[in-house]
Amino acid sequence: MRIIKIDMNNQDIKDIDVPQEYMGLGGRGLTSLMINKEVPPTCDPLGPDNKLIFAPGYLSGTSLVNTSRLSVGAKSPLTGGIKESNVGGTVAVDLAHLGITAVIVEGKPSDDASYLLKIDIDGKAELIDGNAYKGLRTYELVKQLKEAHGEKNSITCIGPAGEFLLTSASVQTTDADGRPCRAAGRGGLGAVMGSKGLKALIVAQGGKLTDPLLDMDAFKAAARNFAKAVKDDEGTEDLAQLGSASLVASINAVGAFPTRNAREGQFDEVEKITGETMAEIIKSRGGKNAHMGCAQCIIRCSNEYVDEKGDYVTSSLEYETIWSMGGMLCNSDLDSIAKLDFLCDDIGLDTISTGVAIAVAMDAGHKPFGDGQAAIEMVEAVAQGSDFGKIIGNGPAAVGKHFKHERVPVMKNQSMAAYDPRALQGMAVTYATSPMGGDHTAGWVVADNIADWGGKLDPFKAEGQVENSRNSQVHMAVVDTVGICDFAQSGFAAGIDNACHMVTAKSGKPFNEDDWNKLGKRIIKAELEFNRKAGFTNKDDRLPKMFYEEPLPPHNKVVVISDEEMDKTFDF
Amino acid sequence: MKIKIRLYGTLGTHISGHDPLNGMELEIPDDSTAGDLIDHLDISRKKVGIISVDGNLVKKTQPLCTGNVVRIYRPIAGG
Repeated sequence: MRIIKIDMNNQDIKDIDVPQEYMGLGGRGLTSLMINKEVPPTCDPLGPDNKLIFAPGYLSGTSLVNTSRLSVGAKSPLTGGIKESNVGGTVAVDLAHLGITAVIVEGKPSDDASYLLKIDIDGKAELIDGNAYKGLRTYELVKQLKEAHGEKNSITCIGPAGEFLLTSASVQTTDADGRPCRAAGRGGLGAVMGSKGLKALIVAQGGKLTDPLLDMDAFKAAARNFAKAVKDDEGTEDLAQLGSASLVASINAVGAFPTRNAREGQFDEVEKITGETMAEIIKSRGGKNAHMGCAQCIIRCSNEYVDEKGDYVTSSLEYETIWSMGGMLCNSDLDSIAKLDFLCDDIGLDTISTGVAIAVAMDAGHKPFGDGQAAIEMVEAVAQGSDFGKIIGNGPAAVGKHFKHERVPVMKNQSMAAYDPRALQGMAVTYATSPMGGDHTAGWVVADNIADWGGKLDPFKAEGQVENSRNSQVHMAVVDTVGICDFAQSGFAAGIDNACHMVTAKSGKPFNEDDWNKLGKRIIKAELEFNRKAGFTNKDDRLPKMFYEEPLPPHNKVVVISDEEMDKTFDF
Repeated sequence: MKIKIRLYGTLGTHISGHDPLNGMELEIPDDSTAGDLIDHLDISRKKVGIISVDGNLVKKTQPLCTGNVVRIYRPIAGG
């Protein structure tokens, strides 16, 4: 239970015990409470006063399945508000195995020097000269770092987009196969890392310094219950066979698959890019479905997409990317979508923001919809550092401003995800009110809006949507704190209390379902407080007017949640 | 009557003759509903999410007609 604090002003490293006020926290809870307390809300997100915090989930490093989430937090250069973006792979577990609760990077080098932060098997941290790696794309960077420092390291890094300080820049991290294909994509946190002069974290694997569990027997029993619930869940099988891409056909069928820069809710060529099609292509070419991407994963939603020769293209091709680089662009060429996914990982870009940025450019007439090659060229332009590449790399709002084009589907400057709020009103509430900006994981209420998926809410009506999104957002704040994968939420079928038992078994302090909800509210309150002090008002909890004014085919509905209702979302 | 079906996700895995990308043609009793079709395929109803007939979302009580294209999807989870 210790924190490694790096002051990039003078490259000083401190190893401190976790302060009492942060005990029992990990992941988003830790990053958000710390940022709210220690980062001046009006600071320049790319200046020395911002802090970049890496924190494994509270249960990461334990034997609980699917707890490999690393939260990355800072003030966002994209939204101007607080940000937490979490990512899988192996690094969270590796940090936790070294007994590290968080790595805090503050300050800023006085020159343009680049550094690597290496944490060895004894948990000792040192900054290494990283100038030789400047400008490298992530796959080449990881190859060189593994050659220099050994295979048994997780690498968490930025690509050229982060070094260019672009606000769609991601933080990439290596998966179970050592590829930098996992992204903390949202909010431009790669730019914050770039501003600190930090090119990569190199974290030793196989540490033996994991925080002790105070009640091992209780933990094991609850962890077994959780894993059983995940295994027994009906959806786990589909996630293994098709990954998150299993959503493509379903979301398109309900008319909520934003297409042609969200002018339509269904893509007429969707069958070419469904999860079913993707899985068959991967299978026929000798790639991998049901691939294990993250440490301790029992779901295996990952895949390895290969080309016609069977050579690796990318991992993992996911729903959100198939949407942003597919449906949003009317691009039905799965090979080009896979290539775009790889390029974003390699350059260090959020696939959601980048795809939507390209969609806005196409909507403005820059290139025709459906032109996958043009999309590839736009992403390559980001890596080249051209003026237009920087506009693309700064996300959809920057593209809209450049072309003086109003149809920009962003909330707090961050693009929405692959669920149109006009066909799923609950997502309108989450997108508008999340302290994180347009974000689907902050409160995924899709199934709650569809009766055939067990939902009780009318997807076209306001009734109940605010309360439901609130509850979901509060719950997710804790899920992102304990570090459980979103796709393993089926494990909560064993009860929230069952999950609470594991927190208690580690902390030694009572923690029940009521505490779970109180913690979620405490985290969101801290995030809202930060945003208020940064200058946000309730006017920022609104959607772009296209969602209120343009009916979305095929249902031809608009968002009907009133401003007054939006303002009640966090009335606690 | 003859209809065309397409089963998404893992629904078609154990259905003989079902192609994951093109589905299959199927002969079912006249007057069948979408729910009857699911039972006819011996698919557990709890494994079924939404159903569409000729592109329109329907309930399990929807009567089917010759030539219908019936798409059956899995419930979803995710993000």
